[in-house]
Amino acid sequence: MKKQPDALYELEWRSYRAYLPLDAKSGMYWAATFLAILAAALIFLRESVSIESVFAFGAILVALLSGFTSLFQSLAIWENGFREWWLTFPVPRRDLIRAKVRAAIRMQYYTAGSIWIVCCLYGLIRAAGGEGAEPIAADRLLGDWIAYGCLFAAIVPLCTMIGYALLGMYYGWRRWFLIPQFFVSLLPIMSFSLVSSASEDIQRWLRAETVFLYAGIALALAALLYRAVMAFVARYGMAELAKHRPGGHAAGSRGGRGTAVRSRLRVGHGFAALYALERARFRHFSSLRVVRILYVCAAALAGAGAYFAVRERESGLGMIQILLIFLVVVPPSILSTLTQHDANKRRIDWWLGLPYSRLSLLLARMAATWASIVIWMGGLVAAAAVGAALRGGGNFVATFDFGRDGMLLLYMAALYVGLGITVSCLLFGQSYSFRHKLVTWIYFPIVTGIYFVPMMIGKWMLDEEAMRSGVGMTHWLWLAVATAIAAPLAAICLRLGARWVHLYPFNTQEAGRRNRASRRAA
Amino acid sequence: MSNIAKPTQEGSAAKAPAIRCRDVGMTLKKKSILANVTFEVEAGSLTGLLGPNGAGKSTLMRILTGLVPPESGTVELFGAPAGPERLGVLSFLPDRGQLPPYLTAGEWLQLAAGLYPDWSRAAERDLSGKLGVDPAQRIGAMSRGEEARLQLLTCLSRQAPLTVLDEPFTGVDLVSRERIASAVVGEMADGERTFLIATHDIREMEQLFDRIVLVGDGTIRGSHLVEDLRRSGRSVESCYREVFA
Amino acid sequence: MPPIQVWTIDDFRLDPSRPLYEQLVEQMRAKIARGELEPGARLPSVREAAAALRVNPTTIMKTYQELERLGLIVTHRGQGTFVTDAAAAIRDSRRQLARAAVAQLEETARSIGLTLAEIIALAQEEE
Repeated sequence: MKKQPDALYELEWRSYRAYLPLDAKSGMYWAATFLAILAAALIFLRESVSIESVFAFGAILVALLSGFTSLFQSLAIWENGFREWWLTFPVPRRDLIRAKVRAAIRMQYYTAGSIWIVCCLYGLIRAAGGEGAEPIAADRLLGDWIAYGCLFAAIVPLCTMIGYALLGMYYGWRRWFLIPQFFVSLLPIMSFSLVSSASEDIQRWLRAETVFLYAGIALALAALLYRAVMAFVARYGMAELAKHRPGGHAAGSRGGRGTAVRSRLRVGHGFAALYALERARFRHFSSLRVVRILYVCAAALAGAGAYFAVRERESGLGMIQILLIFLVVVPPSILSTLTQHDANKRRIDWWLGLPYSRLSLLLARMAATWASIVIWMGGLVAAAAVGAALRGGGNFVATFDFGRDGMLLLYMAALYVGLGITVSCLLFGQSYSFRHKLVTWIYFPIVTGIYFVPMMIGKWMLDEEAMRSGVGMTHWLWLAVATAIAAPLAAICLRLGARWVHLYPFNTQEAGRRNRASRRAA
Repeated sequence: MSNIAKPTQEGSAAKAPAIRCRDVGMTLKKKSILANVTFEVEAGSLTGLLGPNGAGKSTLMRILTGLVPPESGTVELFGAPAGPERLGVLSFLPDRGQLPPYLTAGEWLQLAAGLYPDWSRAAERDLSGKLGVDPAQRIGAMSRGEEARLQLLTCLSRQAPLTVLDEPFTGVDLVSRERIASAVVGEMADGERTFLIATHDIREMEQLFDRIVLVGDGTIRGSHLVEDLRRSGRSVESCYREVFA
Repeated sequence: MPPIQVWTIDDFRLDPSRPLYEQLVEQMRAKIARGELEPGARLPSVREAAAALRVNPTTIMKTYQELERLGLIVTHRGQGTFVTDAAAAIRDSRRQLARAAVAQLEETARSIGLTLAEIIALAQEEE
């Protein structure tokens, strides 16, 4: 019986092993990513940012990777086809989850190690370059290497445990834990701007001496959480995993029998019905209690953010800008994963078999996604408006110039919505890459680049000057030029998407696995 | 959206076979899936597409229905080329396909009535009873047999002249299988509809077939009228064994 | 009007390696001969019968055509298909069945060197 936990661990580890640079091809991917991050850091993070800040960015990245990977892992287990096999292994359930967590931590150590090496190389190159106002002392560099190394090492188990705690929060009163978990998961993102500050007060907290202290605290917390989460998940999560029915999370919570034909489902004919079908997915999603809890949290966050941040015109516009940025990032991300998800879940054949042109299918999907996001964002905007009104509302209105700022708002809305729609269309063209491998190399940067688009916008089309004193003729002119370029491009990608969307069923996870297996056998 | 061929136009296309498949070939990731596939399905018949796992049946089904264009060869439905714009003339049940799990059966049927221009509410009511579909049940909470019956109900409630079923019995219990088979027979009795069914359940279905087409390793390994087989003292099952065992 | 006969798949025994309609004709003739299908009884429609027996509708159509040719069933337009009322037709059919059975028995008798009378006598002889 002694051997079983090891075999279990080996089994779990196998699922990650494929990601390691063990053969030439994946070695190339790793090296390319590694060099790209290093180059990006050297280009974008110049003297204005201290070496410690860069290490802190690294720490945040490690926290995000470990935290979100384990969150997604614990979401995926519920729908995993192997789940029931896994649950019926004749070992204590605590051992099952322990093996899973350990394998995850081991994988994250590989990525954390790589990030640490990038940070070290970055420090070394900057020290060797010798440029900048202050030379970087060797002992400071060495201290940073060791201190942040310890911090990275402590963050990995800490964030992994936080992520896996989700396994116990799927049902019952434990769903209320989702609220603190939501906020804790957002902490790394929110601390980005904090650690990038050059202020002396902040930098003092990033020095090696203090970071050693953080590492110690994080490690102690991680050890504590490791025990607590393991017990928590073994006690609640595993039993619920055993009861769970895949594909019917909500069905389970409502006893599988929905309200008989819901009358609020309005169905038209033709395209309207197609739209209703797509909207039903989002309606269902937003009817889940878990989602409702999280949405209320997000609204509270938006309200609180506005309450504290919005003083006058500029901070108010900044807030609106942040919310608009979501429109660029969220709908394209959803659209690009939705079709793939459907294909993986074997839902796509029914969809493709509907007697409509492929273009109608894509347009209905796009319209429903956008409508849902706009509705959800509307709620957040309302919450932010209430928050702002409670405190600085009067001030904001007093400093708001309707002619100038109204125009600015209109410009911002046109810019971000236009951009969001363009990117959505661009991503539809992704199915063409199933036909031509080379196209993948065009789409990979686009997909990862979405998240940087808003930053670029800030630089080129909506600079600080414009935010301060409004937009002029030149801005509109540039927007027109951008539209003239983007619109045909979007149309072409939409056509390409409609032309090749039928290749999705051949590019599912399952098909991918089968292909890899047959390649290995050959 | 407007490019949906009306089923009634197809009926007038005199005596063209429901499916005519000529020299169809398909290669995926440098692996040949189908090669030189040629066969016909007569209008008004019930044809079985039989073959072992991995023979290329599902890929062939996707090509016949026009979901996927073949790399070589042609497919015609009632005398006109297959393709996404011809989806109106056929009703397709994909292999192990799933309906949206977040809907109840009733919600799905309501949506389907709007989605398919050839939907018949009368057929839906009639078949709901025969197939035993509970409209209040959420699809995500259904057993495989229940979902399979709902999917078949969706296919048969349409008036499309051609129905293509890819493995309608996978993971389906005996009673559901019998109900499905009975429903298929009941729907084709007027001779207006053509069925093409890919299945492993030869014993369940062999009494239903007019013709069988055997597919193995991506090619046609035989096409027989079932009555001819029986006259020579063979059953569908023994013929299948001869070819594939 | 007599009630519709509702068949189930258990009412017939079908061998998948012989033409199905032949077997259905044989077994329905036997049912009519022994009165299980009474004269004037209404038969299920092609659609109902095919769905109940789970066979191709063409098979049922051929079966009905053959039985109609034998004069055992009649179709009244718009009303359905019925077992014939004509006692003579049923009697003819029974006679044919009996002759076929006797012919077969004669064949067996000859194969073991006996006449029809001898084989019956031998079978009934006490040990």
